[in-house]
Amino acid sequence: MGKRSRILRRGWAWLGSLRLATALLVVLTLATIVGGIVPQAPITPNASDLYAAYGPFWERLITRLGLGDVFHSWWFFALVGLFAMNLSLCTGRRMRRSLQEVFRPPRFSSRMDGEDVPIDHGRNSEDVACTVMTSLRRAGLRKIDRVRDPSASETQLVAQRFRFGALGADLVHVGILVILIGALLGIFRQEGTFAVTDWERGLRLPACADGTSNDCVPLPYDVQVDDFGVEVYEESGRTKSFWANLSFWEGETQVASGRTAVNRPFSIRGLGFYPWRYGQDSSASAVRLHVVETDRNLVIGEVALRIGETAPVPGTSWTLTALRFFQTFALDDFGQAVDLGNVPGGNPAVLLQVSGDEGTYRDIALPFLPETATQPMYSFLLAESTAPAFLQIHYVRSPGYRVVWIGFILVMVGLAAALYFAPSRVRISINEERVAIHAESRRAGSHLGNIVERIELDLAETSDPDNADERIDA
Amino acid sequence: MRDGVLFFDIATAGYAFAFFAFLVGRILKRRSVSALARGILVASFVAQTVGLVLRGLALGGFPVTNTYESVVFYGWVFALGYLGLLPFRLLPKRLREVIGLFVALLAGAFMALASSPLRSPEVVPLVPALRSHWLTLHVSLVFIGEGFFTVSFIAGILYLVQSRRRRTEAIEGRLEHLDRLIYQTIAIGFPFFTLGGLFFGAVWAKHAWGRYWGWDPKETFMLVTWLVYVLYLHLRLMRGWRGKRTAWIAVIGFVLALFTFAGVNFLLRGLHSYV
Repeated sequence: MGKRSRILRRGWAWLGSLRLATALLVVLTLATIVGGIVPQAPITPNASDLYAAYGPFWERLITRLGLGDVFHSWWFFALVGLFAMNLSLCTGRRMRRSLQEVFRPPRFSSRMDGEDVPIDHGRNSEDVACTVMTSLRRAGLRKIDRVRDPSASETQLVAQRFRFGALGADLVHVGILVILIGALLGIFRQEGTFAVTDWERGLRLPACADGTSNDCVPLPYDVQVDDFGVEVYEESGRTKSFWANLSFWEGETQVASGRTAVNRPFSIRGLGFYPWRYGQDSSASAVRLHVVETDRNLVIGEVALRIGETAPVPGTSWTLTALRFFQTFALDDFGQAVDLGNVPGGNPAVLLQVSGDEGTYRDIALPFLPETATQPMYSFLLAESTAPAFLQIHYVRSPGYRVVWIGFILVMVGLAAALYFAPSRVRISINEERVAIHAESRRAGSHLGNIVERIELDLAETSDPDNADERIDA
Repeated sequence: MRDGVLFFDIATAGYAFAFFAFLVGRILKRRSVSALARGILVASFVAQTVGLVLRGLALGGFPVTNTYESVVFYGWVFALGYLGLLPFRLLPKRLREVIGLFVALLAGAFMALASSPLRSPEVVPLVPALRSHWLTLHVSLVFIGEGFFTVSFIAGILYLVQSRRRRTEAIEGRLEHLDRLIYQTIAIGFPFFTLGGLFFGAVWAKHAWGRYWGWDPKETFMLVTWLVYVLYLHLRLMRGWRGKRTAWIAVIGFVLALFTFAGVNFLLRGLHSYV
């Protein structure tokens, strides 16, 4: 054998070795710990945040090694790929042995390294075999094969239990490989979100080739949100669930309709629809404003509009545009308007743009008229505001998940077989002079010691019942 | 009383008494005291079970919806892991008392932690995401697995402590028992942990979020814990590792399991943070 082929052979053996498997398990564990601790994409903080949080050394290390997106990095994929190769080669080698162990009838073994139990001369070996078989059956080893050596001077009884358990570890390995294949199919995954508000019930989102927006969905059919809502607990008023009724259209033909709720997604042609978020959409609020003539402090009219809309100010040539709604209005340290969200007792407000003959200015409408240094011609009082409910729907096509389930089932069956039903085998060699017992088990602390004791006891009892107790004690 | 808190308080006191009784039994070497300690442990476990059932009824679901309930359930599973081993004679007689002592200590500590003012025992209705039958399967199986891991952890610690003593025949025998116990508890718990944590967790995630895996911190550390126990099983079954080295892996595995359960919630926010 040449040097080159020897190196290749060794390399091949190393690729499927247990040593490499152990090393890869350790490295993968460490990499996963790093990915679990360092914030990962898409919420990876930028370099300055990392610098502030971890200091210059770690910031440089995290950025250079790409530790902010461990699970999508080339080196992580390479590790998983190497692991899959190691597992495949190892399983290929193991499985042949395991299948032989399970399906091939036992053969005569000339090497017996078990316990020897001498028996009386002159005792029929067939009689001894019967006693041993009874002992084995009583111990729960019901599958017993009888094999003879070529000269027929010695008989071996091979008793087995849970022999299919020998395939357990291989099933786990195959299951993990199937899971990895399923995960690989995830690269064809398709997902996106769209949202509807109270005022958009019945809105149909047309199918489009690509891009996800609230104008269209990149799906093979139009999606219409017929209705949506929220269920609450009667006693506490807390949210119990939220749901949406959806219908799907190809042109003017409805192809399907159904209801999706939290933990109860609706699926059509491999696409699942999941209610994602439910809440109040302040950016789409409707407001009612009183128009106040500042000089006379007199309400001269009323305007109702939604955020983003423009409406005329009644009795004037002025127009009003609602730019932004604040659930709780506040000014920050720099005098900028900020929304503090839903704060009990907080003041809502609307940012307005007022346009007229004398120019354009911005104003804030609050539920009261604040005292200001400048007095514009018209002021606005926020009389009422309504933020519409919105529901965000997430849609996902996830090819490969069924493959992953199959992988998991294989892993579970394999684990149960390997750990709960580990195979055990007892080989008893009988000739005219002795009985040799050899027991093997893949399970630590197995009951095989008890079986050996039982066989010894039964043999002692049947050969010389009077002295059995003495012999057992000895 | 309907929220089970009274029974949890009884169980907490019971575990404390059981711990002291185990300790006294060990110091005085009186079997009757140790038997009494086991009796108190069983009674505390029953009280905790009643509390959990009442809370489940009040909640209309499986009572593991927030940190308070999870900690109580975790304590319950510790005791279950220990008591579940007793009828199967997996625990040698000489180890029953000392492991019982640690189980009572840990279960009591968890109950005390749950009863601290930091965690509200108020029954809070389930948030939409948790209203699923998968919650019961996912969480209960993970905790059952971790219950067995706890016993393996205690056995691991005992192994490491005992292995520092001078080797006599008795010590050798005890170490062998402990080593076997570590393996047996991990071998029993690991399939539960895999089924509940990884498989059912993935099925539920697919059902709720449309994806079976998302590298959420909880998922990530669940995988880390799983990998450590895979490493343990490989090294023990295939490479024949025994003794101190495998005891250390069992200890590290449990510390990671504990971090996955509690640490991730407080240190690394993610989709699983229902505190």
